[in-house]
Amino acid sequence: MFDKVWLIPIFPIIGVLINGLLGRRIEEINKDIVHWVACVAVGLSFVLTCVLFFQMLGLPPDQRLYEFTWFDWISGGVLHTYVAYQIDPLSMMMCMFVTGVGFLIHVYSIGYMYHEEGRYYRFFTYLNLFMFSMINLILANNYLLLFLGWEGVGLCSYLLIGFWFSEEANAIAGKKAFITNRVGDFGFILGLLLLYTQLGAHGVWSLQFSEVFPHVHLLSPSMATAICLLLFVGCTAKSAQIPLYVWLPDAMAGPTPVSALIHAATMVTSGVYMIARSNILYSLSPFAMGVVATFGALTAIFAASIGLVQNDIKKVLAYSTVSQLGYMFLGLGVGAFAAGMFHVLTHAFFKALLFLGSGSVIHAMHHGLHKVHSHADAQDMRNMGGLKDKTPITYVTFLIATLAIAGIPGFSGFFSKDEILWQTYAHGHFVLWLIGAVAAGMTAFYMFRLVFMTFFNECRAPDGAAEHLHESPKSMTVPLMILAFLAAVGGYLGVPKALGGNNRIEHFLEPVMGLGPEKLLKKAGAAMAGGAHHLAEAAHGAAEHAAAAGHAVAGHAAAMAEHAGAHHSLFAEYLLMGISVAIALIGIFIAYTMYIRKRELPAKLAESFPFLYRLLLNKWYVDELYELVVIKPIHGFSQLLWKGVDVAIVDGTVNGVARVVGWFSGVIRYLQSGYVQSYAVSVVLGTVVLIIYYFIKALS
Amino acid sequence: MEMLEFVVPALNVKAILPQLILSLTALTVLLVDVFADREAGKTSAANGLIAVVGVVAALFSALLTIGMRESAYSGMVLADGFSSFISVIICVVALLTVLSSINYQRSCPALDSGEYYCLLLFAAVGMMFMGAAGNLLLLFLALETMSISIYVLAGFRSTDAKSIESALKYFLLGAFASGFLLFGFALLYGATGTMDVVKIGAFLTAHPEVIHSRLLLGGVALMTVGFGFKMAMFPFHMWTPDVYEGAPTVVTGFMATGVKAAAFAAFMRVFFIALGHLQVDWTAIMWLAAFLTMTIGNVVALSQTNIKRMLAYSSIAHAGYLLVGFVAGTKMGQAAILFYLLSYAFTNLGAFGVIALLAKKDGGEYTELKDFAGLGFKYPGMGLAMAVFMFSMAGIPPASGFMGKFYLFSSAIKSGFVWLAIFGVINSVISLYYYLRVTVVMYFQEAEEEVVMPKASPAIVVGLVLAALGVLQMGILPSYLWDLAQFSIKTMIM
Amino acid sequence: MNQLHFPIISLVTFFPIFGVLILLMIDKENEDVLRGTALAFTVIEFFLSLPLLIYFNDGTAGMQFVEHFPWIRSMGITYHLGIDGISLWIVMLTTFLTPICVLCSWSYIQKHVKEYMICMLLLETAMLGALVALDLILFYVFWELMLIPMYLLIGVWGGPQRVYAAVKFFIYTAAGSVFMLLSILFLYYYNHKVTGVYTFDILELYKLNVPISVQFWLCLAFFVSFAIKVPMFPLHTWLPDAHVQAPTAGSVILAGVLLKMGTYGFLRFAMPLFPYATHQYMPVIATLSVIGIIYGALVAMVQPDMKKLVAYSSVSHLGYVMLGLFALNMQGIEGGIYQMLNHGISTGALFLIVGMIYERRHTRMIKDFGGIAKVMPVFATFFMIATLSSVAVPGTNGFVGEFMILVGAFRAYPVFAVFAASGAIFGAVYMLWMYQRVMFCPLDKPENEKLKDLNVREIITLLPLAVLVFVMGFFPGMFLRKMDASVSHFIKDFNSRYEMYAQQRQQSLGEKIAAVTATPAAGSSAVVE
Repeated sequence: MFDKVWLIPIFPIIGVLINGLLGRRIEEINKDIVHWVACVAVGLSFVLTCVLFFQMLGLPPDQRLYEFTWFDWISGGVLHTYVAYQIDPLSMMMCMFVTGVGFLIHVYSIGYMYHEEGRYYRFFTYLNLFMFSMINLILANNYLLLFLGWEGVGLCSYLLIGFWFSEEANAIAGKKAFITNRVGDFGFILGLLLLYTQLGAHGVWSLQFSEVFPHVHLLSPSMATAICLLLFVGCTAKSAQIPLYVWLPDAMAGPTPVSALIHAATMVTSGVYMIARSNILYSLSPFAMGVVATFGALTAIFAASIGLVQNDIKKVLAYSTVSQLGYMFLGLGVGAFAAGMFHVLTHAFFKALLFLGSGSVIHAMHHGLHKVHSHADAQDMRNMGGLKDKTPITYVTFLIATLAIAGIPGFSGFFSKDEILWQTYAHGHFVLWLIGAVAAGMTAFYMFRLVFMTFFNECRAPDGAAEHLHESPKSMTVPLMILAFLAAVGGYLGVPKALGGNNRIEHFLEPVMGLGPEKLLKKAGAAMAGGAHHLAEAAHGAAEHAAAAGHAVAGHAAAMAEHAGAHHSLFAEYLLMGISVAIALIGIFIAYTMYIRKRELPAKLAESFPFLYRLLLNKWYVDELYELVVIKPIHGFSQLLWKGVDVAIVDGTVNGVARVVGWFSGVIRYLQSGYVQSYAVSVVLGTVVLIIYYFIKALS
Repeated sequence: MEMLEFVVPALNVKAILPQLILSLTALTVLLVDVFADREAGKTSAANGLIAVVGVVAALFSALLTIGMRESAYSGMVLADGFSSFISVIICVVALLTVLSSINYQRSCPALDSGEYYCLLLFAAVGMMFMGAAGNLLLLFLALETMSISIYVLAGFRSTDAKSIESALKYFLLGAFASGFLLFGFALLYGATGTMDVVKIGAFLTAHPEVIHSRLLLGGVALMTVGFGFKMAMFPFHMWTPDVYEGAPTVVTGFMATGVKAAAFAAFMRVFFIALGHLQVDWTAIMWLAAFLTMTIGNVVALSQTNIKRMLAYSSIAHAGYLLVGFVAGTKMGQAAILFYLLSYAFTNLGAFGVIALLAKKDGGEYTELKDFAGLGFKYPGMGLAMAVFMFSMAGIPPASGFMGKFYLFSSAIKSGFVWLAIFGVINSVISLYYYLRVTVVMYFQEAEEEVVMPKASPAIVVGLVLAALGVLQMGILPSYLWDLAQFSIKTMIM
Repeated sequence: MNQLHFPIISLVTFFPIFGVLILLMIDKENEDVLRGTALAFTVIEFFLSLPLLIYFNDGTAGMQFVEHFPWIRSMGITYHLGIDGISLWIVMLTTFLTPICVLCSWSYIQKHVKEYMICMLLLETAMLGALVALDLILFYVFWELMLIPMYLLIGVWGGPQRVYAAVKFFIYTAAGSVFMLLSILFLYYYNHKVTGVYTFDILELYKLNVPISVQFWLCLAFFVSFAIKVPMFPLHTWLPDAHVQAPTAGSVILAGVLLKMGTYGFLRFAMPLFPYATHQYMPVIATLSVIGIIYGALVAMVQPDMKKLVAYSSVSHLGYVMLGLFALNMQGIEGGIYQMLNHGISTGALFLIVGMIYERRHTRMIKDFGGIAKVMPVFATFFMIATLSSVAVPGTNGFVGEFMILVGAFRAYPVFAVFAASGAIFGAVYMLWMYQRVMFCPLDKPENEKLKDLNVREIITLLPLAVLVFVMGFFPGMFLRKMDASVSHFIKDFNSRYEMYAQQRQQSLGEKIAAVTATPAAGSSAVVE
């Protein structure tokens, strides 16, 4: 059955072909066929994934790896890459929620996008194409196919952000997303090249995970660091980390289901997935891990700070996504790969839910505003309020998601976020933990600010649009409810030991993540020792030395593992948990104070700290900074190259030569006077020269 | 002292068969013309057709005698491969000229006369003898036969002041140059005591001390002037544009190709056979002359707007290219010159033929470049032919000009004159500009004023087709003619 | 080796000439008949060329379908044709693109249809001839012959500045190639001096041991000539002019095949003939390639004219090709060849697309458009596919080529590869920026509101290219496999001959040092002791 894995990406691509090539006709005939095709395609993928997943669960943990090579892709000389998939706990876990959440969002989109005339089919084509790319990214058994998915999802993101391309802002946002990702991919591809050539130098010409990871210890530490950092550059773009996060908030220009699926639940986490997948590689470079953790933490707090003051409902969620992604990287960076992945999972549930909920709100607002012919912004929370009663399902589900993201115990986000924070602390990164904890407080604040502004108080919609607000159709609310269920209970998949659970996720992922820094070092040590034994036949003395070194490394690793386990007591873990919950509650309380109890407070605060407020409202002026420092100079430089170098210098030289020859021609031509006498003179002169020449010859 | 003896040489008809045929044809034309009954204002092609028959016969006889290698008339005439090849070239030149003339005579009725064809044929006879002359005296006579005929031909458009001016200039300067040449011959005779080309060579072999005598070197210098003038070598080229512009177009074509071929033939015969020992001495100065000739020709051609003037400068440039082969000096270089001369004959006469084709009934001509605007599409055959000739002159394959340059520059490189070859190709690039301009005007521009081409007579169509075929044949399958040229040089009487 | 025992290459090469003869007989008023005939001939030509692909033997590195006859015997010039893994796909690309070019000129070309079609067919013959010729003079003849029809295509059917562009194109390229001719001649005589044989056969000349000092000059002449054709920075300025002024089909052929002649020339002639000099020039070429990649992309970024933008993008793409070729390893060279094909397809498609929009609106200025995707969805799709291919998104052909080149380059010179990879960013910037400004944004120009979407003929024109983009993106193996033997043989041969030269140099240096130190050696060694 595992060899049917290729069907998982095939179903969506069939959907793409049907809707892409014939969609326009189909839509003219019957719009429903379009979404049926798309949803069934993804649904089948989901079902197949489930089947494979449970089959895999039937295997003992150490045998949970199956690779399927479909066909040869790019090959030449020592370069061999394949379109090949791998089934292991990590890929299956990702694939489960990607196809699952993807399916829900496909269904949700039916209701959300149904009114789109003439391009309904395009939306579903793009969504299916996205699923295809994302599945490839996840299931790939090598870096290059992963990169195909990596860029493919970027492309779909571009297409979907610019789906309503008639708005210039949307088109620009799409382009910005693509180009920012390209900057990241620049790093990514260089990382791949470096990895490929460096391993190749040791005779391992491969990009396949199962061949790369057992040999990464051959890399020199500095090379490993360089590779990791370059790959991380790719992640900063794809997963919206500092400094390349700028595209994600703008990406909210796309339809809301897209924001939910691509820009919250799945695509943006692919950077996290990639690092988790490469955990063995990253474990080789503490420095790179440190960089990942630091950037993660900084992004978490930086984005949260911007989220504090945004008024656009989707912008708040966007910055929240950036911030949450920061947490995931923080987790990865401190070596808690499984925790990071856990947060990916829970985040997928609650963030998809948040976006879909916001979509439901916007859908209602749109409808209402449209009814009264108002041009007010349907996404601006200042126009909302009191939606609690108008859209009850949305409200309840939204609230569940908010509780989850805020880290209220019992909800999914609590378990995963706390696991990350705890691991951060446990690995000795106190400052990073502090940053994470503060950001958690901010998260609780801005999320509840959002809830209060949207669902509570009186409705601020203009021109009596309030009467026309009502709940969304079934196709939208059912996915909301399913996701709400998952957001609420999804956390129980990975309840930590401290709370009586058994860290199921971590155990499940062990075959992939098992090679944490400690075990990897052990393995490296063993390899060194083994290699040394091998050498021993040739050179006895040297081998002993090397074997000793190998054992020493292994011993050090064991010591480290012990250290990590023993140093922190259970008490500390409870304490930290308590602190983070308290911080979250404080955040909620402040939000309650400012947006329910004393609603004049926000304006006052903004007045008292105008600079800070404007700074946050304008997102720290990062976009402006990039414009000034990067875009403008490049543009100016390009103009200079064109007008200065190309036209003036290069072409100027070419044309200049032609002109000089022409000028010369004009000058000589005047020697041609038309007078016979002057011609005769030239004959005589020529004769004289000839005679002199020959006479000189005669003399010599 | 040798006894001066008057010997009647055996009449070796075969050695001078082409010349003989042409001479007889010339006389026939003259005679027929006397008896021709002609209405005023109407032209007939009778004279032309007789000339065609004669020229074709001469061409065949030249081709038939190509294996000959004998010295006739006491060494006066050298009937060898070289002279045969030159005769072939001259016959081609004459044939194409006559074919164009038949068409051209409606613009210039004076051409429809026995005298015209007679002079033309006699000029051709002179040219052939220049290629065959084994004696400086005969060489001079041949040169004058050719020159005097052409002085007259250049002034044949007697109603056109420019034509008269052209003839007069050519005559004055030509006479001037002939003087130099004759004086050069005299000095040569003084130095070696003989007029016989082969014997001069032998004398110098026997008396190496004479080689660097002032007498001899002075002669060499003056002969260079005389030949250089006819070849349009810098700095003796000044007459070319004025004369070419003024002369009747068909005569211009005839001059540009025939005179050049004949002058080169004589030049080569004298310099390689008689003065071969001085090759080291004259190579350097000829190198410079080759370089300056092609450069001046090409550069000045760039700024011409009159197509005849442009072709005049282009012909100077081609003289420069030919001199490259001369500088190379090897058998290959000489063969390359022959090949190039033939290729140039087809190409250039083709181009002048196209201009002649456009000649107006009232005697005017379209010779400004802008007159050609849009003609490429209006008269596709003519346009195509002109394009082929222009690309050939520019040396673009698969036209013959490419192969010609290929052989010339090959020979230069083979002899080690890499720099001259480099200057040569740079010049070809410069020349591209003005040759392309003709196609630019013909194809890329719309006509400003309506240019109507009178209906072409079949003769000129045949002529242009022949020229174009010649160009393509020599460009695509050059093997036969190239082998022939090499054979001609090999069988040259030393 | 000629496995078919039939002069298939000659047939393929000269079949268009037969078409020319037929066209000549058709009355120039019958424009549709002319178009149809030309199309028929080019399509038949494509099918005629298929046996080359079908009977091609993947396993051998040698020349296949060889034809070898004397041409100009006394000079040792032969009519020697053959195809190997390096030229096979470019030949196929040529026969594939020409019908597309005829098709896209259907309504674009309204004047002088007959002459236009004749030029197209002539051009096809010249291009094919240059690709299959194995004799230097034969190659040179075809190489120069290509100029004439292209010159006419630009000059007659081109835009307002066509005369300048056409003449510039012609003189620029001819200027480069004349030096190559001299270099060929020099090589020829040198070969004769050494071996006593007069030959222009490259397979023979490959074996020649050219003195290193001479090699540099000969190689330089070849390099300049091919570099102009490619075109490499800073010899590229003819290209934007030529592209912008040429009619659509002219641009397609120019980008699709003519530019490849330069890169192909490097691979077939310059590099294997002069391994040592090539090796020494590698850093220079790599530098210029990388400059070209970035420079082309940056300049493309600020172009207001769509066609000029695509033209500058060609400079950038060809930079990749050159970088790949000069990596001198399997990935680099195969990637380079693959990128040649890609460029033909994606840039060809882009020129077609620009041509189609120009035909409707008679402007190519980006600012005159906006929101076109709304009225021309099919067009938008094709445009998007071409754009993606051009920016090398994985899954499209562009990625395969670019990745292989980067792998190759990274192995050979990592620093250059890093710069080259940055070109991908700029590539996305200018292509997407153009796409956004043309296709997206509000449809605010009334002239654009009534634009008609593509008709069936136009879709047929673009469809094969679009399909190939993905086929070549996902199944590059089909294409690469046929190159493997030839390319690996090329590299092996190149390296072994380079080694030989390097040893020679070492030896001669050693001798020189020995000679210099020989006399004072006794004294100085005494001092040292």
